[in-house]
Parts: sequence; C-alpha cells; structure tokens
Amino acid sequence: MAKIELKHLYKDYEDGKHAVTDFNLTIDHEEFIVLVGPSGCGKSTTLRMIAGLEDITSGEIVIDDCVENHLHPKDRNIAMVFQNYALYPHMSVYDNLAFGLKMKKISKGEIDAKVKEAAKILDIYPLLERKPKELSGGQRQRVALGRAIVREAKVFLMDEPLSNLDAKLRFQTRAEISKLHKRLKATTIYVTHDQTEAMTMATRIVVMKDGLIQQVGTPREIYLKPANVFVGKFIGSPAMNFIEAEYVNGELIIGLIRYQLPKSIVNQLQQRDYQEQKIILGIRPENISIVTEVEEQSNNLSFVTEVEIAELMGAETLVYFNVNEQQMILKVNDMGFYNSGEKIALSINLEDMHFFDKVTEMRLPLHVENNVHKILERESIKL
Amino acid sequence: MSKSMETPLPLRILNLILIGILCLTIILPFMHILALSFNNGMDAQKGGIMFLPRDWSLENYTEVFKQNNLINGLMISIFRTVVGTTIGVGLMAMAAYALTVKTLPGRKYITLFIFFTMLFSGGTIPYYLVLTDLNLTNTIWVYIIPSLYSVTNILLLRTFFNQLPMSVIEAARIDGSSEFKIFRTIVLPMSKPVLATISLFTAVGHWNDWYAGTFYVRDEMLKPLATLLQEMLTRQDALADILLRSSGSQAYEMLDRVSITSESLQMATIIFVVLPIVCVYPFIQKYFVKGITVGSIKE
Repeated sequence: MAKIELKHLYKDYEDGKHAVTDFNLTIDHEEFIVLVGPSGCGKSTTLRMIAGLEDITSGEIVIDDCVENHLHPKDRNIAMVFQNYALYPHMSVYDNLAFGLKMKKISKGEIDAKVKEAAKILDIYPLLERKPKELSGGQRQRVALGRAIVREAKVFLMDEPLSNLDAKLRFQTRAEISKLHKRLKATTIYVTHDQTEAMTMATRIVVMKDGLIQQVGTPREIYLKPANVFVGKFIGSPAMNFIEAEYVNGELIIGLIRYQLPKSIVNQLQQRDYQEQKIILGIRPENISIVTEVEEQSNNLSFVTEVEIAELMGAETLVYFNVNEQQMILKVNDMGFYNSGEKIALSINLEDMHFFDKVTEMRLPLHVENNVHKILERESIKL
Repeated sequence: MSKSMETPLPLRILNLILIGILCLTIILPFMHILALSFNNGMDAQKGGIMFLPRDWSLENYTEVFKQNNLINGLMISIFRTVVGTTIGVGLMAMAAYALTVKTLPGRKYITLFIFFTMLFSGGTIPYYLVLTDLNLTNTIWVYIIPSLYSVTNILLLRTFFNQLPMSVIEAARIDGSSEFKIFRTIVLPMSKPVLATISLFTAVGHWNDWYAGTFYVRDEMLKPLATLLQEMLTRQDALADILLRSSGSQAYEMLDRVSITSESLQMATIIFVVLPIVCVYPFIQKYFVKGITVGSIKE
C-alpha cells in the first residue's frame, strides 16, 4: 500500500496535443481509484505516466513522499495489468509469473512458493506448465493479474483489464478483482471506459474528459451529484435525461409545461443572478414515475406525454417519450405493457431534479433538502 | 475459421497448381545439375541428359576433392559462416532494437546515417584502402568484420521489432528488466522467424562469397571453399582453352581421353557448395513460422 500524490500533471505531445491538463489527485493507502472517461480522455496516459512508461511534461508524481518523476518503471515498485494481457508468449505460465521475481534476484525456493500461492489464489495452478497460446482469454487475464500479485508491489495499475473479456467473464473477473483488492490491500488505480466497472469497484471515481478531471468522488457522490452535464451523461445507464427549460419569474417553462419552483430554490437562483434565461434540467430515468393522473396540487413536475417505444429489459422496462421535442427515457421496475402512442402521466419530484447552467454546463449547487443529502450523509458517517 | 470463410475449392486448386509450378522451377534445375554432376563430362556434352545420369561417373567429384586445400578451405568457410553469422546477426539485431527505442537520442539521424550507406557506397578502391589501413587484408577477419552489418538486414529487423507488441516490452520493463535483458529474454525469442531468415541470408552470403578470398587474401591457407572452387573452375576453363588452341587433332585426342569438362566440374562444384546449406535448411525451417506471439496479447 502507498499514498500517491499527483500534482499539476501535464502531458503535451510534440504535435501540440494536450493529453492531460493540470491533473491533481491525492490517493490514500489501500484506495481503489477508478479513472473513467471516453476514449482519448487521457486516463491511460495518466496511468502510464504514473507507471513511468510515459514522460510527464510538467508536474510531480509523489509516491510515499518520494518524487518519482524520473525514476525508471522498475524502480517505482509498481505492478501493471495491461488491457491486452501482454504475456510473454514463449514462456510458460509459471515463467510468466516468476519473471518479475527473477529480475529481483529472489531465491528459487521463494519464487516457487510465491508463484504457487498466486496461482492458487487465481485458480490457475493446473495451468502453470502451459504456454499463453494454450489458454482462454479469461485464463490469460488471470495470469496477467497473477504476474502483478507475485510482485507484491505497493501500487497496482490496471489499464482496462476486462475490456477484452466477454460479458459473463467480465462480470466474474470484476468481482474477483474487488475481492483481490480487499485481500491484498494494495493501492490500486484502475482505468476503464465502462461506468459499471467504475461504479461497482471504486472507492473513488475520477471522471475525465479531454485530459481534464471533471469530477472526483465516491460512486454515490458522482451518481447523485454529477458536477456537470458530461458526468451526468457518462455515469448511469441509461444516461441521465437532459432537457432545456426556460426560467422566468420563478417558473420553469418547458414548451407547454409550466412548473412553479419552490421559493427557496427561486431565492437561490436569484442570488446567482438568474433572471430570465435557459437552464438545463437533468433527471435520472429511474426518478420519473408513471402516475394515474397529472398531480395539479403537488410540488412535483407533472405532465402527460405519449409513449414512443418501450423496451423490456427483463425485470425492468425502458419507456421512451418526448418532451418539447426532446427525447427522454424513464425506467420502471416492472414488466408492464406500454404501447406506442399510449398516453401516460408522469411525475418528477423536485428532490430528484439536477440543475445545470446552460452556458457552462456546470451543476448549480442549489440546496434542496432531499434523499440525495440523506444518502450522502449516511455514506460520510460510514466512511 | 468458419466454413464460409474458407478459400473456395477452385481457388485452392489454382493455388496448389501455381505453388507446384513454382516448386518445379526450383527442383527441376537442381535435379538437372545433380544428374550432370554424376555423369561423364564428355558424354554430357552430347546433350540429352535431363534428370538421370546416362554415363555414371564420380570423376567430377574426385576432381573437386583432389584440391589440396579443400579441407582447409572448408574449415575456413565453416568458420567464417558460423562466426560471421553469429556475431553479425547479433550485432545487427542489437542495432535494430536500439533504433526501435523511442528514447534513443538522435534516433532519426542515426537511422538516416545508416540508410545513407545503403544508397551510396565508397567504391572498390576506397574499400580496399580502408581494409589495408585496418590491417584486415590477408587475415581471416577480412571475411568477418566488414560483413558484420548489412543495412538491409538492420532495416528488416527493425521493421519486425517495431511490430512486436509494445505492451509486452513495457511489461518486462515494469517487471524490472534492463533494456539488454528485455532484448535478450523477450525480444529475441519473439523474433525467431526474422532471425532465422536473416541468419540464413547471412550464412548463405558467407558460404558463397568467393570475392573477398580472391581479392583481399593472398595466403592460400586462408582461402575459403568458394574461392578455391572458383579458382579451380577458372583453371579448368584455361586448360580447355590451351588444349583447343594447340594442334587440333592432338587436342581432340587428349580431350577424348578426359572424362571431365569444365561444365561437369562446375555442376559437381555447385552441388558440393550447395549441399551444406541444403542440409542445414530443414533444421531452421521450423523457425520460419508465423504467429510466434500467439497468446501474448489480445489481437
């Protein structure tokens, strides 16, 4: 385990492309940090800079109070699992696992014990004599993990280790990596573009876009309070719905729908000089409820719309509909029948609405006493 | 491969026919040369021999083996081939690997510098003067040192190394390998096909080279097999020429008594020179395989 501090990291390429810009993050001992973002967002570059495989343009990488900017990868005491396994093809599984230990000039007996122990943990003991070409994709990835385990490094770096596995195997291996982390307690930095992996494995998630950190937080924080429209869109499946609304005289106007905001919210918006302008409203698909009729008197945003299409996903159903010519999705936990063109009444609780600035697309930090706060409070007590 | 992805039968037959023709163009001339080498030289001049000797004779080979320095020449050839190929391929591989390392200072300029020598050479006389200044002429090292590098081979190796999965090399780097250890324990074992090819090219080049022995070496004991055989052929040609220029009928009588001609001797020489390479080939054939990195990375 180790404490990692990444201070003002920059990576610029010769062609002028900025891969990573002002990356700041402190990672505590035993943390499992997931860097998540779309392709080309700089997450792998950041990981490679920490590994020493990529030079940094400026900034500092500090591991356990030691600046490691110019240390060779082998001197950083890190282990890395690659997306494409990167096994040594001419060596047996045993030799693949033992290679790093041999480089450290550890005695043969100790190497043997460590390799066999790792092989037992990963359930690859019977495969030790095989060559990588004789293994399935899942087995190869286990060997790659084993190679990292035997090193007993203080930092584990994982670059999309599950992306080449099929869905079932990915699900299994994901759980195994989480278990492994709990067992080994090594500080881990994991790169993925899969938000499900990020949500299920991370102690904290770092969402990146265009080389910039968009948000750092626990999975709950990221999901419940996305810092901007991008994070809201990227985390969650199906993605958060975004709809443009006009804010006029304390009312939100979405086409023909008018919604009177509570006074506390109006005051907060006025404090931020919001008068008559557009804002973006974000709503998670599971926070839209189907009601029997429009609730005229309630505090909820309520309206009638038509079902465009419904997709049965198993125990849940996704219903697509339009509001003011903007497509939205709602998720219901039933297997009900929803026919195209069918009229449905929908209701959205104020507590479940996310407000974003139209220009900056940043979250408006409006204080709404709601479930989100209760959940996050519970989490902070737990932490 | 699924059945639908398989090559259609007519195309496979066409492939087989084309490859068959290609094989025949190589095998048939070799068979023809073999037949001529075991045939009486004068009889062979009458023509009509294809793939089987008509008048069996071992005299061509006896003549080849009559050379005094033949065994010594064979040893020189073996020495220069083994040592020259081993050191040469090793150094070329190291140079090529260094050129693939992105952090090598001045990599572009070094590559350009090497490439330049492929396009423009110094010429025979400057080359000879350099060899003399280095005291290489009339030593065995004149066969080894100047041929330690070949730009074409370095570029071939570099291209192959560039195609190796970078992540495997990076994994070794993280595992604690030094660059030389990565080269020795990871890169070389993964590059067996290209190393086998380059080794074969280099070894054949060394084995067949008669030029260096002819122009840069005077000591008979330092001449390789190819040079000795080349000299023998020249002598045989000269002898036939002298005989033909002397009084006509006597010459024909003498030639009638001789069962070796310059052509038949040439055929035996070719077989004698080619045989070692033919014998070695099956042992290195297994390295000419594709997919040495199978299982290493997810393609």
